[in-house]
Amino acid sequence: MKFALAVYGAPANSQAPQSALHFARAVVAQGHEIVRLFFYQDGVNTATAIAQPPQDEPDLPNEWQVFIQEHELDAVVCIAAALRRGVVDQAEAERYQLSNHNLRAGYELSGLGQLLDGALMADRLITFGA
Amino acid sequence: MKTLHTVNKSGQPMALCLRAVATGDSVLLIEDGVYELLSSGKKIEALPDDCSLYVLDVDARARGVSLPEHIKVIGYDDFVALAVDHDNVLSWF
Repeated sequence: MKFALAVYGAPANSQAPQSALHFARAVVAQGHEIVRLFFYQDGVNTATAIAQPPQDEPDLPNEWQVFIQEHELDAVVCIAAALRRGVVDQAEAERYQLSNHNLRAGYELSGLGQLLDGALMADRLITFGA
Repeated sequence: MKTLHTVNKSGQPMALCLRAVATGDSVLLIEDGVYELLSSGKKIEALPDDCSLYVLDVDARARGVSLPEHIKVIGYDDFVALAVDHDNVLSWF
């Protein structure tokens, strides 16, 4: 079965990225397919490369990136939500003449249409709200 | 058409969920939604008799919420299986 997952909460103030990662691991372990991950609203903070959680806490952004790359998942970060929160890739950094970019490898900035596309592609869309 | 409703907070998300549940649906309490088990059970008691109530094991244990016997306690593997078994999933948050 095909799953799409949407994550609306940030690692620092919501359990959504953690719950979604546990769920995603169980989906893959049962032989199902994840056709789209969509990080929306504060969920875009999951994709920043420069957040440093305390060393005695799980590093969720890193765990998510490893999971995405290991399974070669289609991970989309909402571009509008990301730009307003300071999560940018190289192209957006150049467009807005920013000195740095911080989107982790494995993610792609794109529009909200990709959430709808994921919902249409998948048999089930599971939303992890903030 | 069976729907799995996930509820991740008590209060309004649970109240809205209860307005939407239909015969044969299931409700799964996750994250802070497990606190619904502490609130004298009034909202949960409003669930139709033919709706199943589930609670995510790790989230209940992380919050020290004791689990009544009539509630089905499940893990993430079961969560995925429930999503497969229902026709769609609605998340209340």
